[in-house]
Amino acid sequence: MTDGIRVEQVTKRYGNQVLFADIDLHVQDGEFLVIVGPSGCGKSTLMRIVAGIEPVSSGRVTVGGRDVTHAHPGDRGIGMVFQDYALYPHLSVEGNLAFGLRAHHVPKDVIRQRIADTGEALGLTDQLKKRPGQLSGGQRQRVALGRAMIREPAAYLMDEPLSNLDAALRVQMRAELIEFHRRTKGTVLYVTHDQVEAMTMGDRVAVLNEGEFAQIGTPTDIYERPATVFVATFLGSPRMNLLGATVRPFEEEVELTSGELTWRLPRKGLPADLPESVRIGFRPESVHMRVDDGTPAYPLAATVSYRENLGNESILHLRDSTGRAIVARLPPRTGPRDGEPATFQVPLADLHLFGPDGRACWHGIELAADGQPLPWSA
Amino acid sequence: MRIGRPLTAVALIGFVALMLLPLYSMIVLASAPDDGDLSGLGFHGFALFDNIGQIMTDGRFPRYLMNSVLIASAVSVLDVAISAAAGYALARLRFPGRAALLNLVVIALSLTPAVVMIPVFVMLSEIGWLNSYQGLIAPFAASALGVFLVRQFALGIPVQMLHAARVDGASELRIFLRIAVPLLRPALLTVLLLQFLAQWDNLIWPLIAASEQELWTLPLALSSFEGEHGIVYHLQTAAALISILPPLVLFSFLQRYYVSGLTLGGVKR
Repeated sequence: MTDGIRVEQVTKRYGNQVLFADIDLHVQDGEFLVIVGPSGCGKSTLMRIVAGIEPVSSGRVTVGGRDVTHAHPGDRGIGMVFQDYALYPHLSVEGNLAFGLRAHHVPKDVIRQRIADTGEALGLTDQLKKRPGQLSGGQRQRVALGRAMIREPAAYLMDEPLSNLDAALRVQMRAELIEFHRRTKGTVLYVTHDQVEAMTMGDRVAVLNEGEFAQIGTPTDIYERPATVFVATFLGSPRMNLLGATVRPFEEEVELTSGELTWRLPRKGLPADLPESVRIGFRPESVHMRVDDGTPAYPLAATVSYRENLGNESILHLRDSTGRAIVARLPPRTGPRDGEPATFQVPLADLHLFGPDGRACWHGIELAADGQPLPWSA
Repeated sequence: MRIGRPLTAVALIGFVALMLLPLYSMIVLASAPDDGDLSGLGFHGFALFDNIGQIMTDGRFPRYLMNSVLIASAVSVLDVAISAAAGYALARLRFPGRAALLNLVVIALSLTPAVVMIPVFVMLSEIGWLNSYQGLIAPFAASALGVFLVRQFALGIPVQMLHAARVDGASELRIFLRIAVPLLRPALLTVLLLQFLAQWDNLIWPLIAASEQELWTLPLALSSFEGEHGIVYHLQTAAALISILPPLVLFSFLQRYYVSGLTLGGVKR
């Protein structure tokens, strides 16, 4: 186990349709990397290419430093957990675990020992004689994991393993998978469309959209410094507010105008080639009730069109004076009622600027990194 | 509503009686000591076991019985093996020409057996297989119905499960034998039963392809069951009674699967 998984310049075509072209990805040894993206973005296909279930049109795949581009799925040194577990229903738990070892003609006493070890590691010792149909959802997931583990693969592939579980079980299984990774230090490539799984499980997250990685980075990085409008709006719920704005230099600062709203940013730290027309993004949790404590601020006057009380928080759907929709997330039992006007503000450090091509040109958090004071804005 | 139940019961009993009447009549005839008086529905004595004993020890009947068992078994086992392999491949393996092959199977399904009988006869005649066991077995060893039935059933095997087996390192043959065949069991037993019954009752083909008495099967023998002085009804009926036993036994063993298999087409697993 040295190199994790490498996908190099991989292209996948179906007839004339190109699913992705010259894509690269490196899962480091011992890393838990989550590919997240909307349905149809190609994330499952990419995983199946790594597994060898789907052939590449061109490019190279290595696992543990070994070129497996054209190897049989069983000879790639991978263990895979499937969406519906795909356990063999006619075989006992033991039979399911042993299937791959028998296919590789592992001696019987070794198989017996490995089954015992794996069963113990996953708390399945009492279930070994049962069939998958007699197990609970959680136990089935553990068998699926055991089937992947038992051959001691160089890397694990997990294809939306939690997507068909009910909410409570999903939370529990998520914790078990994280624990599994801590314990085994295995290399894991995990595919999901669930942003919570992506944020909570991954050492790194790769956001895949329309056959391209929009961004690869740590969950914090991706949340605080989204590289594109797509990443910014795909992760985070409710999604990030986006307002169109125009940019004008103003003395030592740069002035952003969006409808009746004006922001002033220090020119220092901003890219020199800031486009004239940008989009300003800020997350719902960055919208606060205006506190008049004497700091400079640009108030945002808005009316509440309706609010959702979720118990632990309230989601406010606002309309500003020009009729644009803005979503705010506030602590419970705070903020104005439906139909009431109120004044809000957004910390400058929580702003994101996106160019017309959808790429980020600046994140407010850079200000904090510079050690600058963080004036209120908006 | 209350009246409905007893009425239903009476109607059902009536139907069952109607169905069993020929069987009863058969037992009555087969039990007659001779062909003297066969009128009416009552027993004319009880010589059933004597008759059966006479048939089994006398003449060629045991040979015909053995031929039937041999041919029906061989055909149904071969058909199951071929249907399993072909049906699974058509449902779950990717290979060039798959769609065209499936179309051929469906076309074959729509052909009446009578249409192909003469061409098959000519073909067998050319290779010298008339009047041979292989000539009675080979034409039925692969059936479009069996292939199609297994194929439909195999569509219910999740593709992911097969992928899991591939990732586990199993060869395609191993996946077929260890994963697909066990999962296809209800369909395979259905094919076995359907084909066994079809061959057990097959009269027309042995009639055409086997003129030598050594190769006769039960339906053929029964249709020309003659003693020295013409047809002997009580013995013929006793022989017919023997002939319905093997399929009855087989059916009662496999009934569970037979029923579940036939409802499969409409119900997704």
